[in-house]
Amino acid sequence: MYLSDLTKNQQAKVVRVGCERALACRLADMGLRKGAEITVKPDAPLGDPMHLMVLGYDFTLRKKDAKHIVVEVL
Amino acid sequence: MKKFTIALAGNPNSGKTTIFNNLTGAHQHVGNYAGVTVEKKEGICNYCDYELNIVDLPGTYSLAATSLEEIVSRDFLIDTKPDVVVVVLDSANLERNLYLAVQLIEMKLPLILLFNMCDVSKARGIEFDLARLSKLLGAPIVESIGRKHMGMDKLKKTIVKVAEAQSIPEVKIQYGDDLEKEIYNISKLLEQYETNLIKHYPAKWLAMKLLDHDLDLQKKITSQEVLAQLKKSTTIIEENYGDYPEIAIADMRYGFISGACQQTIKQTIEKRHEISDIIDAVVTNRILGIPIFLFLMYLTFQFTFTLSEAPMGWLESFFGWLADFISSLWPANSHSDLKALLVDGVIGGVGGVLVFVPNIMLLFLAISLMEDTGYMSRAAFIMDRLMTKVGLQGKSFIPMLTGFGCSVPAIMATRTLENRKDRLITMLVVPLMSCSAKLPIYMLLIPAFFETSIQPQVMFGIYLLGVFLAIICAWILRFTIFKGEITPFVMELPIYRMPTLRGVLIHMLEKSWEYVKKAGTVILAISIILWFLSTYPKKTEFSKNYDILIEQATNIADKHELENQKKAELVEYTLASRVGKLIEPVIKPIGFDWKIGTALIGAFAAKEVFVAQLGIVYSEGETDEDSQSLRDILKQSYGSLVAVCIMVFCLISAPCMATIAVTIRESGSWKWGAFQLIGLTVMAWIVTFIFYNVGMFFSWGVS
Repeated sequence: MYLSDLTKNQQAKVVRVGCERALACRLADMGLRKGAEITVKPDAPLGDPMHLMVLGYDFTLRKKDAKHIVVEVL
Repeated sequence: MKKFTIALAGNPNSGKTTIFNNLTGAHQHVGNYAGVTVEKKEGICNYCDYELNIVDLPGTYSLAATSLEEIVSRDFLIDTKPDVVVVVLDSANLERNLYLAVQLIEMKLPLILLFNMCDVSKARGIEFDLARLSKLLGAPIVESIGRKHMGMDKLKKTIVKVAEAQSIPEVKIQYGDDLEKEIYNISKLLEQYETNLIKHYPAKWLAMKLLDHDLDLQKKITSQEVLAQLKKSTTIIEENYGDYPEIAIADMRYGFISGACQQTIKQTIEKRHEISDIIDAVVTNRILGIPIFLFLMYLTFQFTFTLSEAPMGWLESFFGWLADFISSLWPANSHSDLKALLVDGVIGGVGGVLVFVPNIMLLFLAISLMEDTGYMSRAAFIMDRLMTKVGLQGKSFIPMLTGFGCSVPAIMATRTLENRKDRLITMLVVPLMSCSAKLPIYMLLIPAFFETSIQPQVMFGIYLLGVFLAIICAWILRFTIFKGEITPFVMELPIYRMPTLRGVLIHMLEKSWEYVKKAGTVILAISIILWFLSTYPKKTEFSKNYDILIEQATNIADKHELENQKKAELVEYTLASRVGKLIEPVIKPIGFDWKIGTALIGAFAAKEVFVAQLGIVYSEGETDEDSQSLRDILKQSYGSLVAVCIMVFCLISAPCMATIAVTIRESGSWKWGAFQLIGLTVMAWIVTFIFYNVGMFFSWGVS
């Protein structure tokens, strides 16, 4: 399952971050890396980007990029 | 008195700016880091017998050197070797905030960890075993609540203690056997081949940073041996770890953090719905989100324009009084060039610009309120989808909004965009967001040519036209010169906070001061130059002998008529009019005469000069400027179509010199500045041409 498939209030664990190098590195800096737990909050009013919670703080990611992150629903 | 240099590091939204303001009070100095355009804030804090020079580093999440801010922070820490680095951490969001702290531990600098916003973490039921955590992280921890000034004394005391002792963190981050081995291999070669470089950077740290994919440092390596080893090591780690080395390093850092946190942090209550979540449920709601966003934007404009009316009136009266006072220093009815220079040139020019200070202050007040509450990043979140459709992204929204205030800080605000293409597109279209300096032009023309009932709509229409053109231009640029993917949108959505009065005021004053400085320097100089251009050369031989004719005239009307004719001849003879006439053939097709052309030359230097310049051109052509305002004169001379054309042309055409200068500086090339200047001017001409000819065809507002 991919992060982009999740809907609000779902929780998941990151299995693999398959984004391109610079983004993968930036996400790792922000705490979104293999093994991290993610909570999905409601998307932006126009349906994109996603509103995510990692390590207890909130941030945004577009669905286009979330498509490359493999997760396991908790 | 002993002096120490203290660097303030921290994540964005960690409350670093508040701590900086608390420590330095009014003793701040804003400059730039050498050679780059990253803002450098410094301030002095006196404590006991010490003078602490506090340097506020740019807020970053990491020191990975993926942005200019990160490179600047890293270089500052290495080059200057501050006596103490204070890391400001949001204690309610500790793990991610510690990630930056770990990178500072790696750099072996004397460190203090400031657990800021500890009221928020307490409210969330987070309990720290500070003594143990401090031991595990190898640095003293101070708790603080920046917005309530709490913990500041303890912080200063600790700063002095650490600075005197020069105690560096004695902890070691474990990167695991594979990484450690490769770091060792690279560092050995560095010691052998890069002797100059390792005088500057510690070899082991440099080796680790090279593996961490720090491209900026990689560029500094000249030795082929080192580069070959780096390549080899990278392959080994990728094979063993199954990921890029920098991800492996990030994993190890987070491993270290969670190890330290697990032993020392207790969450006593389960996480419940927080106020921030509730606010988000409303303001980013699928149905309510956009209406609320639009309403807030509307409110911002209402607030800015309605509240600024009264203080602007006071300023106007003040400058009127000042002009009268200076005139009264000369005998009545005497003609003095100095008097004219002071009254018409200096007060007319600079005063006309300073009148808009209340407006600008209120706009920046609204913008800082949105930033400090945390709504600004929600606005970017809400707008991202739309912005990507036109080739921009959510973060471009903030510079675009700031553009309504002034293009200069707006273009500087594009620094938050990491991708160069995104940044350049945003920078190039920002001037289309009608800045407050263009406002005097609208405020002068709209009441003169339109009925009160439709004035707000005309004003709104002009602003909308700017936004519309910005969208079109961004779209065209994205699909022509700047082809390519839009960069990922990874942005923190900080929790909502009550802004502090102090923080908002400092932010607002800083930005407004930039505007006042511009009025005091560039605009003063331009006003004087323009006054000279529109005064000299003085015509001495006229077509008729006006002086005698005026004396002989029997009634007042004839007298005025003759005086007007004389002044008209005087004005036509000046340099400004000659230049205006020179460009008349070019601007005639868009409905402008040489008088407007003369004023446009002024506007070319700074938008707000247009009004002053028009005043100078016209006041000399009119006998009785006290009883007849500029508006009436304009109304007699032009139809409302020309008024619209002036506004449209000023909206789009070449932004002021300061904007072009900032674009050149921020883009790093004069070519982008020239592109912006020429592109916008050509577009202004085309759009105005369309407006004028369509208007003429239907005979709208021609009278």
